[in-house]
Amino acid sequence: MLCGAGRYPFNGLFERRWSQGGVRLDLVGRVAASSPPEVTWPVVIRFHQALADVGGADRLSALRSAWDRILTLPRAALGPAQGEDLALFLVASDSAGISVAGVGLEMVWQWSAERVRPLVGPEHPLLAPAGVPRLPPGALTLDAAPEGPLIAAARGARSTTAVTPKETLARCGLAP
Amino acid sequence: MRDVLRGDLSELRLPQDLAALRAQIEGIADPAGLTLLYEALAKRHPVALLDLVIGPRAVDTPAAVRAALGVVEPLEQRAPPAAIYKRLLEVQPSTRAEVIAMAAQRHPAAGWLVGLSDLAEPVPGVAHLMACAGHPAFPAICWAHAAVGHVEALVLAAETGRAEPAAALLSAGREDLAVEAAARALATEPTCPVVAYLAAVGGVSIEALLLQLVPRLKSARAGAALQGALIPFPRASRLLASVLPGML
Repeated sequence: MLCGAGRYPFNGLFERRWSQGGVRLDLVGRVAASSPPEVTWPVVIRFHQALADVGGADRLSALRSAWDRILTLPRAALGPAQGEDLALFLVASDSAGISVAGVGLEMVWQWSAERVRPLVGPEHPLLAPAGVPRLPPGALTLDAAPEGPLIAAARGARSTTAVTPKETLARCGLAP
Repeated sequence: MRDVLRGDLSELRLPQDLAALRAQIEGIADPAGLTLLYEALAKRHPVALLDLVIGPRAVDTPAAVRAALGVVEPLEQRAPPAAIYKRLLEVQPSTRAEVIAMAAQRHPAAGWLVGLSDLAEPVPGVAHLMACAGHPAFPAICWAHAAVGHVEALVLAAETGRAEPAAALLSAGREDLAVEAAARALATEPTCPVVAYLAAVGGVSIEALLLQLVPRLKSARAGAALQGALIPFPRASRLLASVLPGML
């Protein structure tokens, strides 16, 4: 997830990777990012704890499993905004395809060394407002596997694409 | 002029007597001997005092500089603080620690202290960072010192028990020193949120740093406090769980 600039660019960032039996779920989120890190970190921990046993028999049930756990988190434990600032991007895959879902995203790109292009248009429901939703959002099933990694930008993260692959990885909090 | 050192300026004629006054001040070795004079000058002849303290021919004895520190408040009403302290640092090397300490105490959030620290301290930045530790500007000051390479001072400042020095060091690309600073912060304050700050700066790939941090923990209390914070980092969590029973 492409994060913002500033002193604490990755404040509130969390991720969860799960795979079993050909089913895979990659999830990255950001919550309470504008709070001081000591306020944010317990919220990050709550998400990690909630998602510890995420999984499913196929990609859609894995997505559903993640949403179920997130939707039942007590809002009071999700930081000063009570989870209304959550940005979340989920990618689930199995032998039949790849589905993506999310909230609080400004844009999602397909990224490769050669080019970066938007995965969806600016009005697509994948780019839903931030916050823990009332119901699990729909998932977008991709027609084909993306050429490279999918990069999502949380809302307010200054989502212009980074110039180089190294910079892109750095802005995602990943060591190049 | 005999009584000027007792604060009686009735016979003082300025600017005619300024040279004689300067010579008299230069002969005083004890700053206490200048206190009454400087206080009186601050009230009645502040421009003359400024000239004596930070002018082109400022009195450069240690006693004069120390006496000037006793009247910095009225001096700061007449001249920019940065200029005052910079000049005081220039005129007398032996009093630099006192000058920078006073500047840091009075202006903990001042960015100009970052540059002055190089002039004033063997380990630049220590006085400023220590004085600023309880101030809301502390994070910004940590980053400012990191940006100019005051890394040793940041490691020492971590001994205040704050997490920001470690975070600033990580932000500056000094992972090794960030770990050391985090360990020192935890040694002082076992509940210091170093993991939260390191993650906020470094993102999700800081587990290698945490694996270096865990063996440096000095107390079981710090280890216990860190347990919950390490939940997102399974390898570091396992390492901590393995060493925690042996910690005092």
